[in-house]
Parts: sequence; structure tokens; C-alpha cells
Amino acid sequence: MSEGIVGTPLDYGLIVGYFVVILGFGALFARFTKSTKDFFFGGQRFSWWLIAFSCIATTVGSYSFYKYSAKAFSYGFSSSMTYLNDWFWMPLWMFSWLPIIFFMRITSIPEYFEKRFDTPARVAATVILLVYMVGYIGINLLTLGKALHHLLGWPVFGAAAVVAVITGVYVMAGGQTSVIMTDLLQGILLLIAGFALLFLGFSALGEGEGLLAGASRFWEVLPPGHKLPLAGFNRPADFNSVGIFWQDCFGNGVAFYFMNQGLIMRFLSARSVRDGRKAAVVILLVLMPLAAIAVSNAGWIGRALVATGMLSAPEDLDRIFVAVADILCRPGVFGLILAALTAALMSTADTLINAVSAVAINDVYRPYLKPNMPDRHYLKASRWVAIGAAALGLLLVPVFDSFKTIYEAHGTFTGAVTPPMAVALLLGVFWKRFTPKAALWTMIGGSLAVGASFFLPELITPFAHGTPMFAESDTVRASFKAYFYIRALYAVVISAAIGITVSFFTKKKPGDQIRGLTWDSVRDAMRRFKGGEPNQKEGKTVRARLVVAGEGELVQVDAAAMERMKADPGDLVHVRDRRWWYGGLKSTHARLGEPTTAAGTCRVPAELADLGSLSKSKEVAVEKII
Amino acid sequence: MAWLSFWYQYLVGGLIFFIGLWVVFRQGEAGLKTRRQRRHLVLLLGGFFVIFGLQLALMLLGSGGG
Repeated sequence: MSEGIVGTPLDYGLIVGYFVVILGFGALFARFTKSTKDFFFGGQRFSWWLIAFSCIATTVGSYSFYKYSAKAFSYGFSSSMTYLNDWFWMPLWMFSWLPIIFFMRITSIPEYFEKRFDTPARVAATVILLVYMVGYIGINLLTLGKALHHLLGWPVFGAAAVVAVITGVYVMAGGQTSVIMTDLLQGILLLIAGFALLFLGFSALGEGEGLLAGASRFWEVLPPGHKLPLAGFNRPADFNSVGIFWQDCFGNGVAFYFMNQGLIMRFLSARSVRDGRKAAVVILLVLMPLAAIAVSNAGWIGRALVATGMLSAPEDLDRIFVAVADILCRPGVFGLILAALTAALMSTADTLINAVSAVAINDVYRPYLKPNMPDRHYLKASRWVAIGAAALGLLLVPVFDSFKTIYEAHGTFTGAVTPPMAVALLLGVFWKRFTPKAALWTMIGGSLAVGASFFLPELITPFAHGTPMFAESDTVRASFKAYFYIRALYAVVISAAIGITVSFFTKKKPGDQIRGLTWDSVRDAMRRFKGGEPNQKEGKTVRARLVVAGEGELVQVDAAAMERMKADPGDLVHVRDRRWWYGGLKSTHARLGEPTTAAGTCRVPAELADLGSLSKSKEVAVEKII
Repeated sequence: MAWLSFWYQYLVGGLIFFIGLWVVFRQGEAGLKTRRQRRHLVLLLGGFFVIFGLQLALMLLGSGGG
């Protein structure tokens, strides 16, 4: 394959059109953003399916198509293993962490550290989180810069700058609502493009005999070891299952689901905990396996094409995705694939930019720099911080570009930054004895221990499970490149040891001050959220004709509807336009008043209807939340 | 070595999962008494065995050489 420009003007026209559509989409949904709650959390109103699809676009990073295709080409189906090891965390995540942050109205992860521990712990968490997220933005911008460099010959930094501006602008305009809506579009596009490539590959391998014949030939020519779902236990150094288990499942998995501010905000924009759980189930059991196929199959198909002599293996494996797409796609389809690649980047970067904005405003600006200002002020500041975050990420592009590969930059960075905070968070949620001082020292001591391991990699050897210290292909054996994956296990063990030890010698926070913040006090969190005893009787969602009238905060439905919902006056309900495809965009939370005598109606005060963009709706669905 | 990877993942990962399941039982969110508890139990165990079954099937197919 040539190193020059690939694709046709039609393909590039499609990409430009795609950018325009995304900007338009962002602007369209900006009008639904009326407060910082809307900007960061989309008003906590969205349906599970919107959350699920937008999350998948966030999960599939820009590097995914490149990185996983390369691994899939070299190692086969085991490239999918990082997409299938998150369910282990789901009991703890779905039934402890999600209800805690939702019902305690935790707007940022550092805020949890303040409530559960103290201010020093919050400051440490804020620093780690901001470093992690801004760095992540930089890595994402670098990836697309490199991708556009491969495709168009643009300079890496220039291409990254174009994407930074576009992403920053639509996040600035519409916040979380724009992010969710554009990510919905991008998530669907990602999956369609990934599977289009798979079917085109089968078609090419079938050589005119159809898809089934192609799939059969694909299976036949794939080397036996490539059909296994997991890599070798501790070999090779750059792709072994024990290392990846600890680095991805324990390190990245916890970081992603428990402390990735972007993902947390996405789940907090769900209309209820139940919808958040539904979204998680669909993501992990349906969309992640599909995404694994979508991002990896270029490598699998590429291997089969090489085995059948239809493709020569590229020297640089990072180019396998483009090489396979270029050989399989007709003009136009190639453009679609490139747009998917772009979508993968922007959807990850936009979430991170919005998340940095949330942490900067809620954890630094609002409490310490400009307290007690009107919400309008913070909304405006949030928008400028979003632009600033994109700019800061852009400044880091040259730093990450100095690493040998994106994968190395990404792994080295996240492996070093996330484990100490992840351990502090888990111990905070699941061990009441864990003290504020212990949390602080877990983060500081854990980070120092990780830092030390870059200079003395022998520290990691006892945890290495026999994995080699360096990859065979590593010609420059610098100590910071040692034990690429298994460093996460070392970091987890050292951080946990520090946390547990310090806890036994320091004073724990009184039980009444951490109520609602630990796994065994979720019901207290629900009580606080509602301002009364939670009603968990299972009822139905009812439909009613909308009547916008009066003032106040209470909505009313008739007695029969209340009976069907198993709801009482004072319960919290979600009122939404009954047309499902709005996904909760036109909706609001409210408290239920005494039943109305007007049968079949739902009476909503004018201000509330306006807040939920419901004024023009005719019929609404009313669901009891708690 | 391939099966070692598989069993290691499901022994260590399974430990995390079943500790989590125990926590959910202690919270009263999963169990056998009410419909809600049973639904949560089936959901969590079902998810675990879907992923387990998928990877086990690929292990068997892959080990057999296809």
C-alpha cells in the first residue's frame, strides 16, 4: 500500500459533510441547555437507549480502530478480550456505586472524595482526575492527527487542531445534551461502518460465491491460535492475558466505570437509576461485543486476505485498518469508514472535554474561586473551560507524539495515573473503616510507588506472573518501558496496602457523616434524594393528556393513574413526552401532588413544563421514580 | 497455556463478581424472596454466564482447530 493519500474526493466530501452535520447537531440541541445541570448532566432525563448508544461511542476511542485492528491482525480474536471483561464489576457498580452517585447528587468524583473523606482528599483527587482527563484528550487528539496524517498527509498537530476546534465548539454550545445526541449518531455510525467492513471482507473472500462462502473461507484460513478469545497467559510481553487482565479489567475497568468523570456524567444524565442499569446491561452484553467486532475485524479480515494472497502485510501494523478499508471499499464507502474513525475520536474527546469542564467548575471554580454566583455565570464559565480543555489537550499532543506508538503513550499514561485513585475510591465505597488520611495517603503513596517503578522496574517483578520485563522487539530497553501491563497489579497492591495500613492507625469518619456514601447505606441516599421514605413498590408507567396550568412544583394525575403507578403524593416522578424517540429530551422530574379529579390528564405547572421543553407536547408518559 | 488464561480470568474475575453479588444480597437488592430480587439475581448471573459462555464456546472452537 502506498504511503500517499488514499480515498477519493467523494470520500473526503463525505467527511466534510459529516463534520457539518455534527456541528449542526450540536447547535440544534444547544437550545435544550438552560442551566449547569443541563450542561453537565443533560437535566437527568434521558432514556436508557440514548445513554447506551452514546456510551458506546465514548467507549470506542479514536485509537480503537487502529489499535485493535493491529492486535487483531497479529493475534486474532483475543484482540476482543478487553471488551469482554467488565461484567465482573457490574454487581458492585450497578447496585452500589451508581445509586450512591445518583441519589447523593454527586456532580463530580472529587466531590465524592470531599463528602466521603475531607478537603485534602478532594484536592488530591481533583489533581489526579484533571491530569488524567486532559492527558486523555491530548492522546485522542494525537490519534486523529496521526490518522489524518496517514490519510491526507496533513501535519499531525494541524489535523489535531482542526478536530479540537470542532469538538470544543459543539461542547461549548450544547454541553452534555449535545454530547449525548452527537454521540448517539456517532455510536450508530461506528457500528454500521465496522460491520460494513466485515461483510465487505467476507464478500471479497467469497470471491463471488456469497457471504457464507466468504465467512467459511475466513474461518478456514485463519491460523488456529487466532481463533482463541484470550491471549497466551504470560507471553508475549506486549500481549499477554494476565497482564491485560490486571491492566484493563482491574486498572482501566475500575477507572472507566467508577472514576471516569465523562462516563459517570453520562450515567447521571439517565432519568433514573433503573434506566442507568438498563443502559449498562445493553452496553456490556450487546454493544460491547458488537463494538469489539467492529473495531477488530479489519485485522481479522486483513490476516485472512494476507493468507489468501489478496493483500500484502503492511510493515507498520498501525496501518492495517486503512490498508484493509482501502482495498475493500468502493469510493463513498471508504468515506463512511473514515467518518466512523473520526466519530470514534470526537465522541471520546467531547465527553472528556465536558468532563474536564465539570470538574474545573464544580471542584475548583465554584467552591474556591467564585462562590455564590448565579447559575448563569457558572454556565458561561463552563463553556469557556470546555474550549480551554480542548486547547490544553492540544498543547499535550507534541508531548505524547514523542512516544514510539499511541498505544505506548496511552498505556504508560493511564497505567501510571489511575490505579491509586481507583483503589482509594473502591475502599471508600466498600470499607467504612477506610479513613480520610488513608485515602489521601493511598493516592499520594500509590502515585509515588508507581513513579518509583519507572526507575526501578524490579519492584514489579514479584507481581509479574512470569511476564518478561521487556518485549523482544524492544531495541531500546529503557526502564520506563518495563512491565507494560502488569504495573497495574503492582500499583493496586501497593496502594491497597498503604490504604489499609494507614486506616488502622488513623481515625475514621463518624458513621452519620458518611451515610449514603457507602454500599450499605444506599437506602439513606435514596431517602435524602427524595426527602422522605422511598417508595419502591413496582408500578406501571401511565399515559395522560398534558394540561399546562398553574404554578408551583407539584404535578397531578388522577387517582386511577396513581394506583397503576403504585404512587403516593410526595413521590418523585418523571414526566416525558410520550413519543419514545425523544428519549427523554422533552421531560422533567417533579413531585407528585394530590390526585386531580380531571380523569386522564396530567397537570404540570407552566414553569416546570417550560423547563422540560414540554409546553408543546400533547400527551405525556408519567413514571414513578422513587 | 490458553486454558490457563481462561481459568485465571474467570477465577480472579469470578471472585470479584461473586463478592459483588454477596454485597448485592446483603443490600437486599438480589435474592429469592421478591420478584424484584429474583429479577436482579437472574440479570447479574445471566450476564456473567453470557460472557462466560461466549468465551468458552470460542475456546472450544479455537482449541479444536476449527
